[in-house]
Amino acid sequence: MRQDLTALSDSILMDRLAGGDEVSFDTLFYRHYDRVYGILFRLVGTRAEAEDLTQEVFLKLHDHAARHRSHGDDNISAWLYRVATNLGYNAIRNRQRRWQRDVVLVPDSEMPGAEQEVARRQEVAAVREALARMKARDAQLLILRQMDFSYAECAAICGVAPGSVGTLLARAAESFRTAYVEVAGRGEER
Amino acid sequence: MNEIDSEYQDVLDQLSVLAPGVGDEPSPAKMALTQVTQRTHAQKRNPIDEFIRSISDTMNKRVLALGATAVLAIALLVGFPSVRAAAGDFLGLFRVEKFAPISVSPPAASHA
Repeated sequence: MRQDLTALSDSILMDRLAGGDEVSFDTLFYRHYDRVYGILFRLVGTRAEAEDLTQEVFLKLHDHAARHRSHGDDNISAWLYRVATNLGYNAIRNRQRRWQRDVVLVPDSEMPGAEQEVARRQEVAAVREALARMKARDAQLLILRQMDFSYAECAAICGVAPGSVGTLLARAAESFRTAYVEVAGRGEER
Repeated sequence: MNEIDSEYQDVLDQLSVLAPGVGDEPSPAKMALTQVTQRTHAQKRNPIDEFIRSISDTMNKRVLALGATAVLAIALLVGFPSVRAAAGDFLGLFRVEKFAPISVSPPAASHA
């Protein structure tokens, strides 16, 4: 009879994957797919790019399994989401360097609610640009918290002490407000 | 939310505009898994790529560690007067101390 792998921990699944059990990889994939995609979509903003990066994250997980040596307390999900936030953050930083940040697709003006849609897209672009201007860890913490990751999860993913997450989030929020005001102010000057 | 986010709740609310909307949902997980699995199999079929990737991950750290060790060892050795003198003697072999000018004229060059 086929064993139900969904009850197994990530670490055990990684051990099994390291031993060549590809079905364990499928279980890990189904378990984390939505959240990894959610992080990446929030950072890069397009379905195609988020899906590509999601694939990259899971390919890295597969490679990681080959070198995985269980220590019992491995936090595989923290590793996975750390890779996802790093890839997503690097993507928006690179985009900012290539001066593509100002591209906002404008809907047909005949379309009902076109003005609101333009305003929404500009707001999304400004929020994303503000994130790209922040330190990586600050941006990652805010995105993770916005997705309802717990303080403990945020701490494990960002590699900080659990007790400092609240303070770091407050500082990150302040940093975001400053960056957003700069970006929005520049937009109004045009 | 389990923790109190009141200090920065406004920022979290503002970031909610980034969440996937209608039409932004990812491809079904099963389809996405098939694509990833195909890529992992493709990588496995190419053992040279696999080998290069596996060594490149470890090589960078090893090369850096070796380089740093070599620089440190040379710096320590040069600190000893006897080693410094020996290094000076060795480099002296390549130092030009005497030279004599020779004249070259076009007819002489054509004879040569």
